[in-house]
Parts: sequence; structure tokens; C-alpha cells
Amino acid sequence: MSALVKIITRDFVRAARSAGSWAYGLVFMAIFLSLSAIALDGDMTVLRQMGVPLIWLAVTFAALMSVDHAFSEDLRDGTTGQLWLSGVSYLSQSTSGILSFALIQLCPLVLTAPLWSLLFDLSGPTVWGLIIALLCALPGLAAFTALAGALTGPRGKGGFLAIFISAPMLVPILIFGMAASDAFLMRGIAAVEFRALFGLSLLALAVSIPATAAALAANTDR
Amino acid sequence: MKSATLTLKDVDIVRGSRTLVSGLNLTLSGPKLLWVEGGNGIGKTSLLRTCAGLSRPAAGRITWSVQETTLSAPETVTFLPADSYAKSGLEAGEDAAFWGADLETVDMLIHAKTPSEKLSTGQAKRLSFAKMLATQKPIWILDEPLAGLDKSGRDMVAHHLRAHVLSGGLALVASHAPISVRDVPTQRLVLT
Repeated sequence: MSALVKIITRDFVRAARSAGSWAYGLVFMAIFLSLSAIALDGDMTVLRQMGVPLIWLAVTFAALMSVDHAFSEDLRDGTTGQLWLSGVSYLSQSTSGILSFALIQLCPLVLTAPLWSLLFDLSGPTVWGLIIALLCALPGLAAFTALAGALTGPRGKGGFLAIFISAPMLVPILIFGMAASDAFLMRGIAAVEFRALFGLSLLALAVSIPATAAALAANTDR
Repeated sequence: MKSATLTLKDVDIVRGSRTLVSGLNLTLSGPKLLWVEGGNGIGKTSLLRTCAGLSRPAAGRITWSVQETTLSAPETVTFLPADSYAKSGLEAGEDAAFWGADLETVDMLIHAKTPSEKLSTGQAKRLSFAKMLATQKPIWILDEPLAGLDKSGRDMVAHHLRAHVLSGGLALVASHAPISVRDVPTQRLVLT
């Protein structure tokens, strides 16, 4: 079994036994969206208009809140260094960490978006547009938030620092993501905004994988 | 086992504003055991981590070679840290399997189903030792391998160290407790 598959399988097993890690983002999202709906006074016209942007914000904030689950424990207990010594390069660890983070922390947020859309009475096509745009943005969201996790390193609990590091990088994804969600209603999946969003997401991956590997190497040297 | 050599040339190790090691020159070839001694905070762990390639020296050069062929640290070195890296959420057997380790080598088979976070200090140390044994590298670097172990655990470590060195391996051991392994050529390095 390749090291990449072994690390992701290990992370899945641990996540399945410790719901707290991946449910944290979901709970945050539920609270954020419920409070937002209450704050908007339950006015359905306003809620329908605000639903998509609020769900995008909730996913982004929930991803940032989960930053501590990317790399910090492996860096803290020395597993990152041990993996390197056993022949798993920092680049492989970076790739597997980003994949694990996307699948365990972010996928539940995207997959539950239809549930949260009920709060805002969003139409079927709007929900489809939102989900497809979120899926296109998923690699970029995972790449930038995991990079922030690797940069904050073994200290963990780097919440605010991680937000300061990754928020500027997430802004373009948020802008293109919102645009793609809206464009779906007019031009469907063929809308150019989806290609731009997916391209941005892949670019984020291409930049973040080596940058995360460098951050892991730097944080192991202590 | 092929003979391995660890060479330190003019190595400086600095942590923060403190210089822990200055201008260290050392050439070690197996079969040999180097016992690194020194008080708390003197720089034993930093020296071992540097020898393992996990930290870079502030100055100087470290090379690892097997039969005169220079290799990288991951190709030659295995490192036993002082602290456990047992993973919470995994059973000891699963944790060992992840690293390709066999719990039987450290008399831990009966604890295979014990959650890693519930292992005692000594059991966690045995698990780390099993992971280290699985790597089958020619250079062993061990940081406080006896800490937390009972008599049978200490005997087990001594047994494996002896077998490793007598088969031509090289071992660097930092320990506050005396390291005495029968029939094994031992050198002392005292950090002051």
C-alpha cells in the first residue's frame, strides 16, 4: 500500500473514532447559519438573496476553524519527522495531508449544504449551482487552509494566526465561487466562472503542495 | 549488516541564542555504540536530532554513508525519540501495523487491542521501539531509550542493541542511566 493511501486510511480511521474532529466544522456551520437566519428576521425574500453568500461564508469560516486538524498533531508528536525518516517525503506528506483534510473536514461541509439551504428556501437549481461551485472550490479551500495549518505548525490552536495567513488567499476563491454559483442559473455548468474557479482551485493546489512541504520541513527542524 | 559511518565535521548546534555544540568533529563506524551523556538541557536531544537529519546544524556538515557510499539520512538512520508518538484513535496493533512494526518483538502482543492513548509510559516506549526495529536501518539513534521501562523492558532494549551492534550496526544513545551492553564496543561522549 502506498504511503499516501496508508496516511489517508489512518486519518479516516481516527476521524471515524473521534467525531469531534470533523463534526466541529459542521456544528460551527449549523450555529452560524441558524443565527444568521434569525438575525435576518426570517424575512424569506432577504433569506433567499442571502442564502448562497452566507453558506459560502459558513463553509470558508468552518474550514478555517478546522485548520488545527491539518498537520499540527503530526508535527507536535514528531510523526512528521518519523515519516520523513521512514522514506515518506515531505511532498508526499503534504499531498496526503491536503487530501485527508479535503475529504474528512471539508466534504461533510459541502455535502450538507443542501440541508442548510432549506433554512434559506433556496430553489433546486440554486442549490445545484452552489454545490457544484463548492466542489470546484474544494481543492483550493483545502490547499490554502492546510497550508495555513502547516505554517502555524506544532503549536496548534493557531486559529487567529491561521485565519490571518489564509484569509487573503481565500478571497479570490470566495469571489469566483459566488460568481459561479450565480452564473449556474443563467448558463449552467458551461459558465466560464466554473472554469475560472476550478482553474484557481488547481493553481492553489499547485502552489500549496510544495509550500506546505516546505513548511513541514521547516517545522520539523526545531 | 553493511557497515555504516556517521561523520560530523565542524558541527555547531545553536538553539535560540544558545550555542549547545561548537566545532564538533566525530567519525563513528559500526560496530559501535556511542553513549552520549550530559545534564538536562545541555543539548543531547538537539545533537541526536541533528545526527538523525531532523534538524540542521548551524554550521558544519553531517554525512551518512554505508560502505563508503554517501546516502541520505532517511536511507540510513532510524530515530527513537524520548517522547512517544503513539497515535490516539488507533489501537496499539494498528499503530504498529501503520509503521510495519511487529509488537511481538517488544513483548506487546497482548496489548495489540489497547488504544494507543491508554498505553502506559513504558508500553508506549516499547511501541516506539518496535516501530524503530521495523525500519532495519544501519544507524540507530536513541534518545532516553530506557526511560519509563521496567527491568524486562531495559533487558529487551539491551538485547536488541547488542544484536544490532554485533551485526555491524552503529548506535548513538543518549541516556541518563548507564548504558552497558555486554560484549559491545562502547564509546562515551560527555557534553558539558
